[in-house]
Amino acid sequence: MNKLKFFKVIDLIDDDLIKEAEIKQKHMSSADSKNEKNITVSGVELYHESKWQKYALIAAVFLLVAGLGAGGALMFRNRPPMLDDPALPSDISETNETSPFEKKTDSESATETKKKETTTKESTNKDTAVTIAVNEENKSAVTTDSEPVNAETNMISQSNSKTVTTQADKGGVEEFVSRAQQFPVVTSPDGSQQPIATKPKDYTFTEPSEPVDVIIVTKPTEPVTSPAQPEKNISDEPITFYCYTCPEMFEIVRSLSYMPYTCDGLPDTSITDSDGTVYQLNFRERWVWRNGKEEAHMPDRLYQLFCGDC
Amino acid sequence: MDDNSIIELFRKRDETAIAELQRKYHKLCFYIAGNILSHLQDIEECVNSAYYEVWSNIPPDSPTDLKTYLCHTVKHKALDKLKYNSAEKRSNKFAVSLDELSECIPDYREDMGEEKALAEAISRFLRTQDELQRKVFVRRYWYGDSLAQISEYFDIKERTAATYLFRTRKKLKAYLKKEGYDYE
Repeated sequence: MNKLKFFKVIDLIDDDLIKEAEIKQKHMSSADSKNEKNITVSGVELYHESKWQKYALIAAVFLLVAGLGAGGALMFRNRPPMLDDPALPSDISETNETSPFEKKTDSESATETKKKETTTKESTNKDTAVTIAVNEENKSAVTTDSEPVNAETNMISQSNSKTVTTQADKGGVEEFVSRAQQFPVVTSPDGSQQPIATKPKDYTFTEPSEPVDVIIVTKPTEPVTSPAQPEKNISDEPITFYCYTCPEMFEIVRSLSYMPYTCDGLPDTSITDSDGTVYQLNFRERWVWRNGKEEAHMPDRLYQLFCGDC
Repeated sequence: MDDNSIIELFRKRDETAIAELQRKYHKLCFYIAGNILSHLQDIEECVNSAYYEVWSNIPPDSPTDLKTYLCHTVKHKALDKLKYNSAEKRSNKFAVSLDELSECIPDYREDMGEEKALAEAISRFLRTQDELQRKVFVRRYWYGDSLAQISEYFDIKERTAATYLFRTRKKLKAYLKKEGYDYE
């Protein structure tokens, strides 16, 4: 049945009943506003302005940008330090002409140090690795007006140079120890004496991926200690060696018979020949690597030169 | 301007009569049509049609209560418009009130004048009811108000208004049965 018929019936009720149910104007105005809101308008989108959402959005964007900026600044400030070591001499080699213990003046040593640093900085493709030992007690009496590193350059006493020849003595351990303790030097290709850095106590040698061009020069009083490496039939006690070079070392390493390397381990130190050949030494297992590709057994003499008593 | 003056303007065929009528009762006409129709265009068309019909009918008609006469006219036009539109375009709230009425008002034959008699019976019934419940009934089924609007007008809860309507419908059904009307 058509339901509109019911409405027609209701519409025909008495007028006084309709008039009785009229609502006052104040009620009607509020109802009209509601009714007007209920009136649907097709084809038009209703826009509801919300100011608080706009302010909240602006505040959120501001907080996001501030947070990103602060985070980036903190990360930049706490970034790991870049590798910025001073250049190490790349082609340190021995020459038989000069003694490592010759007397040098302050200016000469400073000049040679500067010259050496510029030379090493130019050579970029050579693999150089020198173990560094730092002695904090005995600082160099030779100070230069060059880089702070050279302030710790050792003074080579004339008296010692007179008694010690270029060739490392094949004498006993005592002479070796006293010599290494006082004046560890490296003979550069041009014959000048270049003090080399000593290794700090807790320094662990790692093979550098890039050539090291800076030499930090100090006077060692304590030997370098390599960390104990687990190996069969080898004691776990740390190996103590002195970080320096002499012509005899290079003669020995050149004369060894090398084969493709088979062992896997970490070298304790390395020395660089005049022709750029890098020899890496492991005192615990007593092997020598040449240019990281060939290995040879370390002779006792070579071991003695570095570590003293076998 | 009072209603009698407006009626006088209609008799004199003064066009300002419609303007005066609109100024006084436009919101009420909009409200009544809005309770039945949902689209703004339909509502405006309905109200304008009602104004034209009043202009056409006065004279010869001379209503004693111009307001009620106008409300009747607007509602007729709104119902005609609603009938013209499809069933899907009805307002949901309106459909609900129609379903409620169908439970208590019996079917009748339009051509036999039964609707007039039925309307009189309903009027007699409503006069026997409580004033508030009567007003709630008329607001709901004649003006087409929602339960929320009714509760706001009379300061009662929606649940209370719904209860009033339910009881009134139940009583109306019993009264009409007693009057001899059959429910299929």
